[in-house]
Amino acid sequence: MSFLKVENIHVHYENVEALADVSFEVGRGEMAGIIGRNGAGKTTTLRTICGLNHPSRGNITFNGKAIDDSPPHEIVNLGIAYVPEGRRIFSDLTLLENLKLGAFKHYRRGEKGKVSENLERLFAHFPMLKDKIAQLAGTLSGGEQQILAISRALMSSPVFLLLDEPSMGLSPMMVSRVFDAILDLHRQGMTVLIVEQKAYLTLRMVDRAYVLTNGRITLSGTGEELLDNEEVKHAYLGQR
Amino acid sequence: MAIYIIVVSGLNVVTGHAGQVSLGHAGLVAIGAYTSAILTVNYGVSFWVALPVAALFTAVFGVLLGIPSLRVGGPYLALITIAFNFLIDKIILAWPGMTGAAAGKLGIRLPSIGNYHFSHAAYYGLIIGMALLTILFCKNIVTSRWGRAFNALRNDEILAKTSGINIYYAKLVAFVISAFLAGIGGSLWSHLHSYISPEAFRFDRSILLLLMLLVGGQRNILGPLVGAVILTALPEFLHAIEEYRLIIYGIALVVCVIFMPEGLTGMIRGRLKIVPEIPVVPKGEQKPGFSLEETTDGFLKVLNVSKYFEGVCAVDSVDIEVTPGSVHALIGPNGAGKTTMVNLITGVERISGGEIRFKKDRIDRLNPYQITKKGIARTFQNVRVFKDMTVLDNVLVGGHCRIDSGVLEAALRLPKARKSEEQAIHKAIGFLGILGLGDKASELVTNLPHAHQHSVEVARALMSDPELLFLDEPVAGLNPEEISRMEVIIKDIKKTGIAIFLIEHYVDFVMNISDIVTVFDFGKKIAEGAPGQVQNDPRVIEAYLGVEHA
Repeated sequence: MSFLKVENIHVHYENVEALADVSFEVGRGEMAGIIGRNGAGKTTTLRTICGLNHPSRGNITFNGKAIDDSPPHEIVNLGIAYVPEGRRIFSDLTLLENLKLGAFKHYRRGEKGKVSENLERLFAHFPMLKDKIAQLAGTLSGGEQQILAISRALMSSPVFLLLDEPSMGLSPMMVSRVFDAILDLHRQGMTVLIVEQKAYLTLRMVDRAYVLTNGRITLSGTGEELLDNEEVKHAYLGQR
Repeated sequence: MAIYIIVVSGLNVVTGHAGQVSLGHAGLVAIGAYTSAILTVNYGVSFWVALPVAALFTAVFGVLLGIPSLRVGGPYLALITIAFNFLIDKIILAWPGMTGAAAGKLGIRLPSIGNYHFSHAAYYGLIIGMALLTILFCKNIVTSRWGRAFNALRNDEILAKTSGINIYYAKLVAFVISAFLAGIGGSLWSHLHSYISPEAFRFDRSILLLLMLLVGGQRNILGPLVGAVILTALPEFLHAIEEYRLIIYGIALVVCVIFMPEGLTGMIRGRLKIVPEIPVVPKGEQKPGFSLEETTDGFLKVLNVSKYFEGVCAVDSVDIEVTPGSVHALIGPNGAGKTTMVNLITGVERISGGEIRFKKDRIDRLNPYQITKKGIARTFQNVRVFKDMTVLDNVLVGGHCRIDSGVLEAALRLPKARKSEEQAIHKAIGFLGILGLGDKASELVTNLPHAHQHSVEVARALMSDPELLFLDEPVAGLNPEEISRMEVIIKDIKKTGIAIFLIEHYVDFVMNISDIVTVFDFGKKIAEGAPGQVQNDPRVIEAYLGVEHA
């Protein structure tokens, strides 16, 4: 049974159609990816899943529950976490405060133990977080802010993680660390949907992937199938 | 009513476009009104002399009102402008000999030319004519490089500075224009009513002026007209409930801010879905003309530069030398101080020690706009664009420091201003074409995907005719195809003689295009050399590349 099911959604920005008849599924515990050019609608897809845009037609169900009309905070409470593109952090708060905000859900439920458990796990992956814990987030470098944004999403112990360009602005070494952390959580059962320009890296990692072209899904398959696909090789992997 | 159009049009320039909220505009109108009244009544000066004198005198006060805006913004500036309004009121009351204090000033006459004495109706016709001229005057200004500069500084002051705009000067210009028009309004007002008293220029009047702007629609050339008409006509209809007038204004303000932030004109424009005018694209391929100066020795030299943030060392005694026409890359782990280095060179941050020289001049104490004017341009890592402006306007802002038309030339649309504007558009469209955004010129910049907004930044930076261009992660978020295109673009830029200094994590890209690579770790330079050499340096592999890329 599919965990997230997106059925025939259309999304409009004013009079421009950003997504047209998009359908795809992500199974429980799966790692799925969306690749496509800039402007193809990848970010819109993620925003629509977490309720920042609403489809004008079509349905989105998560764990059997319709979410296409729900506001973002309700969607987060269902266990979906979203890491937006371009390092959205609270600049005037410290690194720790940013992380604690990510764990808002746990605080409300009185799950303090969960918070420290998550913190410890993140410190193990990204020692930088521990070193700069009291620093204002706005004073971190761009790449560090990106790590923080991802970590903040992980603080809510999501069952489903949406990642928009997680590798952007990261050094090669940091990219592998971020992907290691994501894979680690995935192995423990977290479902992941990732949007990335680093198509090769993504396709090697995911179980299933979709290619988005001009707001439509034009190809889908397992990671390996798409890696072998001539069209994908040419357009997204930069091979000729 | 027509006088309001003049005053509110001025308010639109300073508050709507430049984003400097003034709640003291009635004080400026008072200065214009009393200057004109005192000159004509006490000294027998002709109206035709008093009007421009009053306008210019008020413009001087515009400078005074504008000075605080150089240091503070937002609510603090608004408070200062309120204080200014009260201060003017007190001065009028404290000077009975000239102003008549609370009793008011009587005997202000309608103007005359020779033997012709203006009737009330004729004078009103004159005012309407002036209002129409004002609208034209403001339209010319806001569509010129000055209007763009105002919009730019409202959106993002740091970005405006590094795009080559002297924002201090631009803010004062906005205040002066606005005060000049308030002065004209005041002068016309005093002769229309033949009697003035301080009550007409108190704080509630300032609020009314702002309300007219908000109801009519900020940043819309017809907004002041619509707002002035509605808010002067409204009380006529509401005569029966005169005492509730302020309540109704209050409600109107709240409704306006919440439901139609762009005012009536904005709402109508939204309903009609009016697409912004697409500028005429000149035919034929336009090769941008880069200005290329011959530099013999000493291009960019960073000497022993350090930067501390509250005791934390971000950049530690670094030396870097960029040679003219080269592509120089700076790589290193996240948090190594790369962006800080670029911020120091472009004047966004001040160095703590050492010196930075560009073509022999020290630039480490200059303002960002001065550095841009010297020929250094940059883009930002976390994409910075002027959000509510079109792609084309974003790019044109970059050309601000290379167009030398003054405000008056722009306001009067003199041929020189028009020609330089046309050339700038021509050039901007050329750059957009090269960057693959030729068809997006009239789109709102935020409608573009993140990565393409960075390309808009590149075009904006090129508009300032740089000799040295800083690119902070130019290919972040681009796909392989777009990355190879950026490679070609950077090589093309290099061919025109512009040196490029870039920060990037995409290793293959860096190695393909760079002549020299500098590697940072913990604020220190740990390696420097040709790409191949750096790539095999064990320290670089350990700190940055990881085993996979070795």
